[in-house]
Amino acid sequence: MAWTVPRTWVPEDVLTASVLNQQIRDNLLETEVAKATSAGRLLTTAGPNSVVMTAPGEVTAATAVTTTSTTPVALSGGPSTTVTHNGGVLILYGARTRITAGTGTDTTYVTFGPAISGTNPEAAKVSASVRVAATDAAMNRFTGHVIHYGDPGTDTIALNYWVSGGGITGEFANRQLLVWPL
Amino acid sequence: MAWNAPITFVNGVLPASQLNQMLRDNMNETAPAKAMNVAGYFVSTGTNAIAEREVLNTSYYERFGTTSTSYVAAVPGGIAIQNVAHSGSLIALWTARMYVFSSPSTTNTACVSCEVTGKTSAADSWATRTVGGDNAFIRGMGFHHFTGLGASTTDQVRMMFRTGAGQSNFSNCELIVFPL
Repeated sequence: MAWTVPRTWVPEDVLTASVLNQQIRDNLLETEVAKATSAGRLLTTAGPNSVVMTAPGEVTAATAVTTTSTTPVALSGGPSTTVTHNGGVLILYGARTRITAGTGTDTTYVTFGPAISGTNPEAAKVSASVRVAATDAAMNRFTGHVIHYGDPGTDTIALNYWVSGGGITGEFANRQLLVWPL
Repeated sequence: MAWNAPITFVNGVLPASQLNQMLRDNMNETAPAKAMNVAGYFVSTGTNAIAEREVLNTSYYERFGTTSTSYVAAVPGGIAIQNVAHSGSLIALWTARMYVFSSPSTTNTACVSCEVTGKTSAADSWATRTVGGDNAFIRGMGFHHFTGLGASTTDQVRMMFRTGAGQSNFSNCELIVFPL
């Protein structure tokens, strides 16, 4: 079904079943309350006269992982998640991280950020990532966020990780990825 | 009132009861009928049921500290938002400036987490933390999607603080909650 522009009624209009079904039944079925199926979803727009309920969600990976890759890679546990959206996704991401082998300098660092595959693919990139040069054993937490716009569809968002090189190893723990489809 | 599944009309007499149920009662379940505030938004609370929500926030800019190594409110009353209405889940964002005031080391952190009081305790797994011991008051930010809370109109969401050892200090705290 789709929304039909509500008609203007005039005196002596004959109320036919087909008109009532279009104006009342079908349009009611396009409202947000008709589309609500479970608790905790947000009303979002999918285009002119079209609304849907979308669900934010968070995925996590507590285990500490390491990499020496100088290009973005997925690591064990991700986290990653697949969402259907109307053309936009708000992504919040975070992790505890440090340089665990080698020395943090002005030119050596560890990096993590989201990579997207699906309707609107986009590799993890410096402009949407967190970069850290700390070596502290306690592993400070860092967070970042980005809004990714594209075509309506389904995308898989996965945290990727990489290091600058220079003989360092990056370590990441308590990884978080919160995705809010728009 | 509650939502009634829209019927398929047939030609013939149209009773008032059908119009009242299909038009009046169902229209009263839609978002415009339920909107009460500015800057609100709508969430589903179950099958064919919605509710208006508001983004909630609080802040506390004074400097304070704790020597507790487990999470505590740290200030009287806590940095909290009371009476949060939600349908079982919410998203919290928080930020604070922090540093390790005494016993700074590479393994001792100032930590800021968040709880839904009495339902989900503050945890390190979503806490922002820093080892900074240079009085620079480094700012960190944390977030968490709290789920499985059960619908409520009285929950409290509160920032929680701890130190790894010695004393950690905090300031310029802000808490934002998106009830779902």
